[in-house]
Parts: sequence; structure tokens; C-alpha cells
Amino acid sequence: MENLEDIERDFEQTECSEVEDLNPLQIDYLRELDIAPEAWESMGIQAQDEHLGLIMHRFQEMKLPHQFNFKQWIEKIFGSKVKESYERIEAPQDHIQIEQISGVLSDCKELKFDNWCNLELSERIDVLNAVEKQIAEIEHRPACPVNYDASMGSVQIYGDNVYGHLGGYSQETKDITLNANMVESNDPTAYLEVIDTIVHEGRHAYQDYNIHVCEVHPRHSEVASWAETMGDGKWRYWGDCSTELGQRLYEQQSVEIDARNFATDIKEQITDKLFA
Amino acid sequence: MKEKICRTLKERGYSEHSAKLLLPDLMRLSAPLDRMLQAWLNNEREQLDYSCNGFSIHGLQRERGMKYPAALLTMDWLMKEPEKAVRSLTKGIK
Repeated sequence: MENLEDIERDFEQTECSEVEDLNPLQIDYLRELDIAPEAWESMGIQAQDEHLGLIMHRFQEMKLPHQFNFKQWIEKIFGSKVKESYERIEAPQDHIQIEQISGVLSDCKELKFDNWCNLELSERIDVLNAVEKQIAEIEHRPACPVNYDASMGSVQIYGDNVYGHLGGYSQETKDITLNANMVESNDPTAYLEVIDTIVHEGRHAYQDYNIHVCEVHPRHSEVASWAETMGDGKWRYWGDCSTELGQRLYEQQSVEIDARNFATDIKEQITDKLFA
Repeated sequence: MKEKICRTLKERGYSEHSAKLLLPDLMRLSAPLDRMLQAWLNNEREQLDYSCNGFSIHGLQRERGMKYPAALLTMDWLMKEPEKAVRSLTKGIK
């Protein structure tokens, strides 16, 4: 760890034949985590995943270029067994995640609008916790506890939009909090916003997990872009920064654009089914 | 001008990083917002109001808790890209 700055500097200064090459210092740093194939196979899946998390953390420390090919280098340094395990922890491509999460949401009976309207607030939160567990499984990340907060203020409906402080994901506590007034509402627009928000905040949990714990997202360039706002990258602002920086910078954060698009794609696929 | 904006923002509670982030947009404010910024830089209590597309600077400050420079920048967005800005402002924060 104390050599990390040298490793980063050395990487920048070394002339590589290909841009995604690692230099010898970086390779040695990674090889410290090498495990013999027999030992790897005798480890349980959980231990393998934890070890892969350590490996991915070291890759992340190196601030590698966007087009870096993790699979190729994992195989080169740690062998094919570890690469196979990495492929297991790698999350599906976004379009597959969207399809699978849409399936979870549209198959959930309690989430159908007619059934939803008959649930108490606490029952609705139980349903959302169950849904979040399934979403987390699809996204290959730990599930977040889902809570509600009655002090987030009122919500107002403008056409197809719900305005107010609707919810959030906390990087510190790793939980998702939703505005109780929105969750309690039986208005169809607020109901759709609850579903949009649980998916949106879950995506923030996924971004956070990829940036700070273990990179499981199949596209490194996207994780690098998220890290510029959610991590300690060049923008370093995240969340509701509108009060300080204005609405445009809030709206145009890479993590917000990604979470918004991801949730919108899912909502578009399931809206008709939820009201059927 | 750049130095004055950065220095004033820092004196009024912005971090150096945030001040540098805001600087390019504040330097390109549309009229009359540019003059309003100038007035605020000279005197923090000079927070002039302006309305556009159903929103006002004072309304953004009062109802959304925006600091004056944040409200100026939001108003500038409302003037330059009204559809996008209105859509964003009528959606919730999450």
C-alpha cells in the first residue's frame, strides 16, 4: 500500500506497447494476492468472492484506463480458474439487468397497483425490501435495507412527475430511504414514482459498490465515469447539490443520468403490466 | 473578474473546489443575470430577483433552499434551455 503512489506514477511514466498494459511493479503488486489453483478450488464460493474483491480493489487503486481489459489480465496473472470465478461475479450487461429486474417487478403480485392500494405503509416497505433483495441479486451486489422517512416533506404531482424530496441512497449507511408521503400515496403517479425511485436508488447502490468495493459492472469506462462524481474524481459532487451548485449540475451528474435512464428503461417496460 | 468571483464565493461559504466548478458558468451568465451577479459580488445583501418560465430567483431560494449563485445559475439554465430546465425542476430530487 505504501508504494501505491509509485505504482500509479510508474504506470503513467512507463511506455507501454499497448495502452492497457500493466507495468512490472503493478503486476508484482497484484501477484501478492495470487493463490495456487488447487488452493483456489478448495476455497468456498464466498471466500473466492471476497478474495476477488481484494484483487479488484487493487486494480481500482491503479486508476487504469477506460478500455482496460480486466478478464485478460486476471487470467494472465491469476490463471483461468480465477478468471472463471471473476466471470461468475461479473454482473450481467445492462440490457439483461433491465430485462430481469422488469421481470421481478412485473411478477410481484403485491406490487400490482390494485393490490398495492390495499397495503399499509409498513407492508409496502416489506414488499420493497423483498424486491430490493432480488434486484441486488441481479446486480451482483449486497442488498440495501429500505426504510421510509416521514420528515422528507410533502410531495406534489405535476402531470406525470412527482415533485419533492423523494428518496435517497446513503453511501455511509448503505441504505435506501424513501419519502413516506410518496410511499403512502394511492395516486398512480406517486405509485409509479415509488417503483422508479427504488430502482434508481438501487442503481446508486450498484454504482457505489462498483466504485468503492468490487468492480462487477461489465463496462469499466462507465464505472470510471461514475467515479468522477461519486468517487474522488475530478467533479467530486454527488447527490442533491442543487442548493449549492444549481439545478443543471445536479441534473447532469454522470451517476444521476445513468440511474435515471436505467430506471426509466425499466419503468417503460413494466408500466402496462403493473396496471393490468 | 475570475479571481473576484472565486474569492467571494469562498468568503461566502463555498469550498475552493465548488467555486472552481461554478466559475465557468458564472462567467457566462446571460443578461441581466450577469449584472445581478456583479451586484451580489459587491454586496451580499444585493440579491435582485428575476422571473422566467414560471420560476423566480427568490422562489428558487425560498422553496428549494438554493444559495443565490445556485439560483442565478438555475435561472440561466431556464433562459438557455427552458424545456430541459423546467422538466428537471418539476421532477423530484432523489
